[in-house]
Amino acid sequence: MTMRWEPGKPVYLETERFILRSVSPLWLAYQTLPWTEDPQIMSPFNHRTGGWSVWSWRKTMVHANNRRKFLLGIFPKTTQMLIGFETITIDRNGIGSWAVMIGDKDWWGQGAVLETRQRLLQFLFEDVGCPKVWGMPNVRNFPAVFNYNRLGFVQEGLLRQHVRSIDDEDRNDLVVFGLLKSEWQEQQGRTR
Amino acid sequence: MSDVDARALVADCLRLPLDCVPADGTIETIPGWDSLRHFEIIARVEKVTQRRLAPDEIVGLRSVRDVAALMSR
Repeated sequence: MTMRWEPGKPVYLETERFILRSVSPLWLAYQTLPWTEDPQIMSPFNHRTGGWSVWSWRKTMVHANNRRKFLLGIFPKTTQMLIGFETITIDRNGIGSWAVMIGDKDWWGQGAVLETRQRLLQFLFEDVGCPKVWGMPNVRNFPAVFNYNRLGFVQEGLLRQHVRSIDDEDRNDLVVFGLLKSEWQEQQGRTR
Repeated sequence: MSDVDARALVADCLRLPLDCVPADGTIETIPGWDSLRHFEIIARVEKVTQRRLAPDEIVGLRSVRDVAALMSR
């Protein structure tokens, strides 16, 4: 069952294996605080490992209003246990940007990001009305780059040495990936 | 480096028999080519070529042929 979303109301989306639903930042911070101790989870986001409180961790999260800012937990239908979350922000031009964290490592390499983001693209393009969705992963975050490629995003640019690495003071490049609604619709036509 | 070397590298990273990795295989067409295995493939290419791949090479790596091209540079 996937309920029709109304602006300002909690989001509830389903895929074959997962439920995506609105969660509060504080609840999410409590649930995910243990993940902040794991460098494999934190490094790709250029967050420091360890030393977080629930409150400091919560401050990094989108203050969701379910209109232009969304914070969605990812729950497998089998266990209903939180395995990750997605943050989405819609800017004044209606462009959606997003970031995802899968903290339950048993789900790494299981296609959770691909499956849930396919559903999110449908939500953003058809329900929210975004003309475009974009993201900006670290180029050395190979799994993230893989997922953008598999979802059909187009590389729009490269921000060279744009961020300072939290791990080693090195400077890292970010890739700008974008997907237009028309490109997504074309993909849907090809896969049907 | 030959196409066979590239296929062997991809097959090894994906834990697949060589004949399940065609020379024209891509991230869309080869079963089991997921985000974690993709990480392994890039790490292995960097080890074999003894160099850090450029950003465009990382973003452009989508197929066995791309692996072969990187290994032959």
